[in-house]
Amino acid sequence: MKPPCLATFLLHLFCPPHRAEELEGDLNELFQERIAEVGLQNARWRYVRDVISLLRPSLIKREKFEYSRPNSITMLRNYLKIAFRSLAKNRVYSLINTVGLALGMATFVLIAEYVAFERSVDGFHKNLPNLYRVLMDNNRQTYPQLAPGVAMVGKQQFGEIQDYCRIANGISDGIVTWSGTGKAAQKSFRETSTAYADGSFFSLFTFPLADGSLLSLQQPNVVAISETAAHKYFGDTRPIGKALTLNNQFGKTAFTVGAVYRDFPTNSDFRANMLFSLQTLASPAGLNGNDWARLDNLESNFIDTYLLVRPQSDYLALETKFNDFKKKLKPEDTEMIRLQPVKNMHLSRSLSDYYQTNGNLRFVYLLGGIALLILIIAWFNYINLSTAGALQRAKEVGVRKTVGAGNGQLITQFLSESLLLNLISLSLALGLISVLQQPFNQLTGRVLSTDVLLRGNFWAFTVGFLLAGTLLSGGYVAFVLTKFRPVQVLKGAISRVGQGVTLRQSLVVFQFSVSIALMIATGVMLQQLRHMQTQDLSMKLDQLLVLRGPDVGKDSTFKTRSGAFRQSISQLASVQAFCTSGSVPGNWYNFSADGITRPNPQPGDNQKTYAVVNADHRFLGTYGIKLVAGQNVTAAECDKPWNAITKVMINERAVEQLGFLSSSAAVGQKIKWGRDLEIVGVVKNYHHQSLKQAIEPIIFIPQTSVYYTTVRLTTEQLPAKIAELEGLFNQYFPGNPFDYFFVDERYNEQYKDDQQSEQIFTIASLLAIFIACLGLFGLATYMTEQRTKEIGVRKVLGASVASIVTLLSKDFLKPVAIAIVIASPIAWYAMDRWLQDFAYKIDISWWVVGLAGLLAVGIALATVSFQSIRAALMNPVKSLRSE
Amino acid sequence: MKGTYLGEFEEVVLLAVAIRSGDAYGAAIVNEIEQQMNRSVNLGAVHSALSRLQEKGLVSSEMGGMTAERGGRRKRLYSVTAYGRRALEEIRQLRNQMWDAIPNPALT
Repeated sequence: MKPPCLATFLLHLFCPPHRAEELEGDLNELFQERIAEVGLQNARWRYVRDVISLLRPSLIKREKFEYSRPNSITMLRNYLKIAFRSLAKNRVYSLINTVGLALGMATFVLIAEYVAFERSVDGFHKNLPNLYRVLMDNNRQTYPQLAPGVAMVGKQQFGEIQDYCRIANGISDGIVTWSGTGKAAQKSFRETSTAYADGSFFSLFTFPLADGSLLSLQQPNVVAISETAAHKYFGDTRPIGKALTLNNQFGKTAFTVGAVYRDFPTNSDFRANMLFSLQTLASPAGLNGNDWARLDNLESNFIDTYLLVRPQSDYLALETKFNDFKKKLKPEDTEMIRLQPVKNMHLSRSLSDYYQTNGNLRFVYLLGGIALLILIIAWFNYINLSTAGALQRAKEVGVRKTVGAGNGQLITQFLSESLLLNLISLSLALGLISVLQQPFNQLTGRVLSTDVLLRGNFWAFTVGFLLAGTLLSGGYVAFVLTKFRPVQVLKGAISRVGQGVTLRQSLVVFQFSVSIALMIATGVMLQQLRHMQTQDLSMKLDQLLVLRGPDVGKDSTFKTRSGAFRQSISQLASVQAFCTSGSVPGNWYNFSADGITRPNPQPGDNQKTYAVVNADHRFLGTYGIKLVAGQNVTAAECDKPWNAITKVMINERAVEQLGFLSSSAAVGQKIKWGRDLEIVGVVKNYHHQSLKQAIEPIIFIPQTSVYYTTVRLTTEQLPAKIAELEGLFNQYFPGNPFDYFFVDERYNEQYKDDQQSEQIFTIASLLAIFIACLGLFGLATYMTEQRTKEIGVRKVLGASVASIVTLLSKDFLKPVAIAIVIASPIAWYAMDRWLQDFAYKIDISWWVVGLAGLLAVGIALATVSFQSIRAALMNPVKSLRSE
Repeated sequence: MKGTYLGEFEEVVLLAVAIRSGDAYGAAIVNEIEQQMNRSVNLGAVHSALSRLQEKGLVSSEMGGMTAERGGRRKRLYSVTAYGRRALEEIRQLRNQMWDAIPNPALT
């Protein structure tokens, strides 16, 4: 007879294993007895009752184990202990790994800061999803300067537009004066970072105010100033309600301070120390005769326009509506209106030179990629060194497996070792970052800190990334080690050569490919930069000092004072030559214009654009620019008013574009630009702008300008000579700040971005090659250590030192050679693409590639030979006796 | 002593172990108690009492050899320790002492 099986099952479910046997025995015995005593039914019933009575806590209690049973924490502690021991045992490799990883991580974090910063620019506006900038697209380029009427017409016509803000950057720049009260003296500064803005500025964009009213800019003659500017003019007194006077191209205007805003954050493209209310220009008094700036006009393009679109409107549909409307209004105008989301504004490529601090999307991503590659190189070092060293750990793994470690436990062990190393490196990297942050900020010209990373989920991303790296770098080693069969390992039957040779070599190939590609890129960049800086510009820029013209005091005596100023400059002994112009090389032209043609134009000729430069008759002489045909304009021509001018000079490019056969043929010809202008001279092509831009066709209008005065000085005692000029300037133009710059410095600033990227690439390639060499050094040490005996035998048999060094180095040169073959074409292609951005570019010469390859081989050889020569010089008696 | 206080059922179980000395295991004790006291006992109650007695050190146990009758399952054999025996004697003495203290008239 069998007892009820459900009850037995219940017993086994709850009873501790060590009691189950006796209890089941007792139950069974009683059951059998009771069948005879009370019958089967009752016996079964008693059986169930007994089982239930056994399910009491005191009997369910698990047995106490006599020995302590290790839990996962204890094992982790053991892993950590072993990890520290093996780190300490292999000091060289641990050092190589941590230093390499720390460098890689520091680079990665610093560059991640940069990338995060660039991506955060202009991202803080509350209205961001609905903010758009209006652009004009003329099929060749897009530009943000619009006629101010566009926004007003748009808002009347299209319901989607909730509000707009127009910002006229720069045209407001001039001299701002505060005529202090009481003891405070008058304060006057030239402001070069100002704008006129609509009253909606502070409601459209999220720039917090420190004081005053958000809507104050809606009134004419109100100015909002930054905290910095407030401090500059008013010190500690409250600026609201104070009066400032602005002298600029619109004449002398009085403003009241209506708001003080916190300085715009560094991750914003908006730069302004002062915002004057645009409504000031709405009245004829404010315009002061400058009718081109009328706020309702649709002709003159000078203002940036931002739109706040109602939520959930389709901006592309709005763009189409805009264009349809424009076509009805001006059918002959082929330019298109484009709406650009403000969130794409900073990193968009089309306008890369519009704002002074514009980022470049491609460059940002390229940099992020390079940082990642450097980090990967460091991780590869870990994989390489730990697989090479895996043999040393084989015995340990064998013993662990014999004692009962499962694969899971071994994997946990080796991953925790890799995590430990990654964590040590991370803390080292954090130290490095705190040291390197300042220099890095100088290099990038940004105010960066790790705070940028803490915004949003970027930090989580980095931690996840680190863990992934740990898995990646430790995973392979863990896999290799768990594969060892304990019997073979403990017998010593495992091969001494080590496993994963192909893997190690391919990782070295990768590391060196990246390093070589970076070296080639650096070389090409350096060459291009040198090319641009040493190219003959067809003018002489050294020792040229430029004075900015006065803005204050343009009254009836201004013309005579200016003349007298020029007269006295020409009499200074230190001045070799001087001229006045409306634009100087290194700056943009005065303006560009189309509609300039020969008397009998071809169709399409009036669409071609020409750059226009106002300059006097001394311009060519002062800058050392040559005439190729005809003659210079006369002094008398330069003094004529703008609309009485009849003679101009043009450059060779303009000769070509106008369609004249040769420069000499162009002289004496007339061109049409509203009226007829006679070409008196042809100027040799010179690089008015950097070599990134092609030389444009230029038309030189003879004008004595007050905008820039260029002075060529003799070299000795420069400060004294500048002081002399300042004295003259202050004598003739009192109340104006004396501002000057050197042309060559300003000209070279055009290459600042390229120099910056060249520096970053130099550092990146140095880092990459350094970390890769660290790994190579570690590998070489392992290999020579393992081959000590072999070398000893070879030496005993008569091998020379040289042959042994060759033998040992050969293995390491092969991957480097393969890396050169892989990296060169990739780098060549990439740099060829990069060079397309330059109008005047070098051809990549083969020797740059050759040099990079040779350098890589040389560095690798030097790294390896340190170990191989030591091994080769070792006394064979010693090496054979070892072990 | 507080730890060695014996409950009524524990005392009965301990006595049963002593009676069956040499062959005292769960089922046997159940039978013994049922026979002696003529009442039905749960196996769980007996085992729980046995494990408490063992914790107090009054009995000791060891696994017995294989037997044929229980489907080959082994028995856990309990035996009274010296301490257990002394505890039993103490209880008996105490009872006797109290019996002796009863004045005779009261019983009649």
